Amino acid sequence: MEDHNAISSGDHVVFKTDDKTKVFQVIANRTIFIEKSKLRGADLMGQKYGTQFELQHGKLVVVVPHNSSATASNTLAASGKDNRSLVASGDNQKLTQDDILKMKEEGISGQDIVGKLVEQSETFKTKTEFSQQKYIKKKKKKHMVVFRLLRPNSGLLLDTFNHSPGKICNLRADSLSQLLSYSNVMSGSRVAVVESCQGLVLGSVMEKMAGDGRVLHLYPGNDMNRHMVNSFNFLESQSKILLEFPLNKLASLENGTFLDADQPETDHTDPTTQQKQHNSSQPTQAAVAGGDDDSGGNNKDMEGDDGAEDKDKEEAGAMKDGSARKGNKRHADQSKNGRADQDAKRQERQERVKEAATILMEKSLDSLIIATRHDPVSLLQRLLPCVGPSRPVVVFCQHKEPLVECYSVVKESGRGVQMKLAESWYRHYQVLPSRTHALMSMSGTGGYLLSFTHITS
Amino acid sequence: MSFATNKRLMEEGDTVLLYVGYDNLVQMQLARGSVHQTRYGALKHDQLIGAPYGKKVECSKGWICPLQPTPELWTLVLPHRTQILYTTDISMIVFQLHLKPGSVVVEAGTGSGSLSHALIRSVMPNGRLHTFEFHEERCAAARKEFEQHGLGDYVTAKHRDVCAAGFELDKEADALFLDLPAPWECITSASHALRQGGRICTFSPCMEQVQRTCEALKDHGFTDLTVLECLSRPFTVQNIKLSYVDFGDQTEITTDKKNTVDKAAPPCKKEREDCEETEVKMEDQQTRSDQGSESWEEQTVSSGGQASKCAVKAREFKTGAPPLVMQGHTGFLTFASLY
Repeated sequence: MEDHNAISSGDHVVFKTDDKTKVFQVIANRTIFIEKSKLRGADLMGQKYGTQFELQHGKLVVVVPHNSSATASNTLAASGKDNRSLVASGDNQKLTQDDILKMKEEGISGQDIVGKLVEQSETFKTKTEFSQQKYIKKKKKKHMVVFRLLRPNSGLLLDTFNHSPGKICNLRADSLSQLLSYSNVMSGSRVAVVESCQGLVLGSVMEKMAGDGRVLHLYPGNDMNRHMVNSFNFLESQSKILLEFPLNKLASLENGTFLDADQPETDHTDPTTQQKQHNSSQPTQAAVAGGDDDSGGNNKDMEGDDGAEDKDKEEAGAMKDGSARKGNKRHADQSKNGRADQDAKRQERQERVKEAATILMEKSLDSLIIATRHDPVSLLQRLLPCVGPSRPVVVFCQHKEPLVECYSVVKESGRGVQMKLAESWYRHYQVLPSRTHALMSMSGTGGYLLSFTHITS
Repeated sequence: MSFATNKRLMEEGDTVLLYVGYDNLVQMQLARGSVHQTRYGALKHDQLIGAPYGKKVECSKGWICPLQPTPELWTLVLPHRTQILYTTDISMIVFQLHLKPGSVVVEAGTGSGSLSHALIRSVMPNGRLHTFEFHEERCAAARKEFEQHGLGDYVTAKHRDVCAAGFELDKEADALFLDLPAPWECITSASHALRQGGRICTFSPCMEQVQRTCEALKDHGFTDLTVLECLSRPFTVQNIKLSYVDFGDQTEITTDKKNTVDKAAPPCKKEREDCEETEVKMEDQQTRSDQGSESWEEQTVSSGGQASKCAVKAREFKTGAPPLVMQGHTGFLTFASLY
């Protein structure tokens, strides 16, 4: 009945262009902005994951695989030998900005505009063949919106932060991958995670467990942002392994008053409200982090999506029921169910906190992962006793100094062996015939990683 | 039987890793009645069977610690039948192949099984690794290891030259990894083995190999080609002392004294004590460092000692010192998707 490879309402979908990766939640009546173009959610429903599309006047056109590579290299009539006769001048291109805008309004496709630009370029024919290819690639990027729709996974979701690594403590693919290796996370593990990477580390850990085991999200009392977990499209059976425990209750847990208390009071009512609050502060963060306007804008969109998710899920649900979505009726429904819903959610949350507390008290965690902008030394000192013997601990930090401290603390306590403090170096290459070289820019840091195995005497 | 699940206690037949000291980790198979000789004295296996992993064991001349193996630790101790991949590359391969429990992953060749263990961990318990090796004995040795480690249910180890005979898999693999001298020779077969949306990775030390592989991948409709290199830079944590230079400057010295006095205790004496303290601590932590093996602790102690001889007043700090010589290259990783 249902096609498992088709996009359905409420799915988080990755949009991958040549150099950018974004994730959006697809909802029928919601508009998505991709590369400054609008796209209706309804148009995406039922499309197959893995398909490549070109956006032409708000419409999705499937890109036929071999077509694109053929047009890229061939059809070049003449080319020059070198650039000795090239003179930089604004007149080299006969088409003006207005001409291009006019063509776009007339509905001429991006492919044709690129063709016109080549035709109207005085210097194109004198460029070398390689240079011509580069020119076409650049123009295509500017005038064509081509992207592939993909199912999210930790690798792709990490890529969505490529232009703003500051939001996830400079966690890079090499660091995240090693963090996941050294922590020995596997199906059935019981893992505690402290993170300030918007839920990306939590989600990546959960992905490795596929519904078997427990993930304890230990969060500082006022910072529970983990909205990226939603973007993994986890099934109910996979997301139910996620528990949480507020670290400001750790002292009472340690002295035995926490589990005795009947109702652990909750500091903030609901994780989703927390998310929304956090999201409202996102734009400023994005501005601080810098990056090009374009990606910043899209990111805002992206996060807005996630914050509003619960509401939309309801909408989606309402649509499936075939009932009216808009107007008073929905409001009435919400207020009627709202109270009961909230109570149920609260109850569930308390159950999760309680289970997490019980697991922590057993002091036999299978691994501990710390990747946060808070002080890792104190976190490690307090949480290490909760880890079982012969189990790995991994601490990621964007600075080296706190990890040097962590190393010394563990070494002196004699509770760690196989200690390793390292950073990694990560470099990409362009591989083309006669044009193979390392990319001109590379990431300068992906943070630092301390890993060791916990032992007891 | 000690890889598939987290275990608390050691059992007979378990592969156990003994932590003997810095850079000294050895593997052994627990068997009743056996005795393992370490430099801290004899260790009876019976003493370990039923005891918890990760708890120090006292021997006649010092302690050792039995650890439950993980793929990362196994990589450090496994018997080398070939050159092996290490955790930095392995992590990247597993991550970029988008493996998760339930995935079907293919590997050629099996080699010494360093990567295989990490692949199996990622796809357990309902996924599968198909691993191919053209050297018959190596294949058999790997198969035996998987069985011993309790991983036999998650892996098929076959003796086959995939470049000549292909994978004989039909669109059933989620991911495929090639560590072969000529990976381009089996891209055709690889493209048949992968399902739609599948990922491929090849590991090659030379750029010429990468170039030919990339050409073959493009010819077979693979997209999103990424070629990358990833190296780990380890740091050793050291206490460093940099002595102050005497400028013969009266005021300078007094301010300096003042600063130390603020911290209480007479400056000269305190400095000495600090120094001794750190030395003592370092020795305490690692009683075995003076037993002959090369270890960073020794270096730290000696450099600390030297510093204390020549300078009474010094700037002290802890640092993570980069290695003088580090691995400069392992191989290029090429990733691509097939849609």
